[in-house]
Amino acid sequence: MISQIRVDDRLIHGQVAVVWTKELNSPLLVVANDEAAKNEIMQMTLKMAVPTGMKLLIRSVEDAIQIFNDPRGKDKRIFAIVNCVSDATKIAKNVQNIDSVNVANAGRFDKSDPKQKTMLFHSVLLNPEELAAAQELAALPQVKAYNQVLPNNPKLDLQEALTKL
Amino acid sequence: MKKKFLIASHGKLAAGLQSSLEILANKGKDVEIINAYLTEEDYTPKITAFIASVQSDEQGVIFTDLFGGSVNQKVVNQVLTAKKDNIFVISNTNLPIVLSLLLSPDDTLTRENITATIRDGQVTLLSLTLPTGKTDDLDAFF
Repeated sequence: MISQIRVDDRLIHGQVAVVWTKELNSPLLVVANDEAAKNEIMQMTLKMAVPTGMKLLIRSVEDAIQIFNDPRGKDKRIFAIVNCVSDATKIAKNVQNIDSVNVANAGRFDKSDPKQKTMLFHSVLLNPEELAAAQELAALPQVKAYNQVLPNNPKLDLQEALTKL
Repeated sequence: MKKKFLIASHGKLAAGLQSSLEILANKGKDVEIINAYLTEEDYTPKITAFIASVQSDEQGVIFTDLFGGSVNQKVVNQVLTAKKDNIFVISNTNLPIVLSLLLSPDDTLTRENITATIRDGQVTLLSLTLPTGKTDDLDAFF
């Protein structure tokens, strides 16, 4: 099962590698990102960010969905990391057994026009496509979607934040 | 067991580490800091007050910047003078070591687990050669 899908525009970094893996008790990490899946340099730096004792797979979103649906992962706690809301939505629509989606940090490095972006949470800036993906995600009945940058921050509900816009 | 942390440095390294701890883990408030020699003020009373604040059923960790430096000497002096055995002093401090000890799941810190943390958080010269061939394995993952 997926203990959490984290949307983080830095993918694996200090907050994720050190803090969240402990909090979620999930030693299996999957980075689902089309660019990382084909970029060797990104793969090397992502591997550096993973603490010893944890396993990491880097796959395209499409291939990652297959891994999440692999029966061998049914009783394991997998921590999935994507860098944009639309990838999280795609996974949430195609995988059963997802505890939650945490839209933590998004949209700061996607090079789209800052004037077109909506600030949904403190570190979540969404362009129109990403905003539409967030609305689609919030409407899925089978997953809880919220924003929580660090475990001791409060969980802010995604649907509520979208309603307030 | 409740743990208390103090970082003491020459200049603003302590404040800088505190700022990084806050961004990485929301833990900036969990450390006290001494940025020594920015003013002429004697910082020894701050060290003494920290040591005094650590109760007998608590543990204290004091991070200093340089082994043998004056900040480190003053800290060691004060800890030995206070005759407390529940305070650890670490020198040549870096961010991974502070972060790991702040987030340590161990209820009680021991010399052994602190030593292991220090070993895992060393300064590292990176290899910048890209690996060749298959780099991960699905079967090994599950």
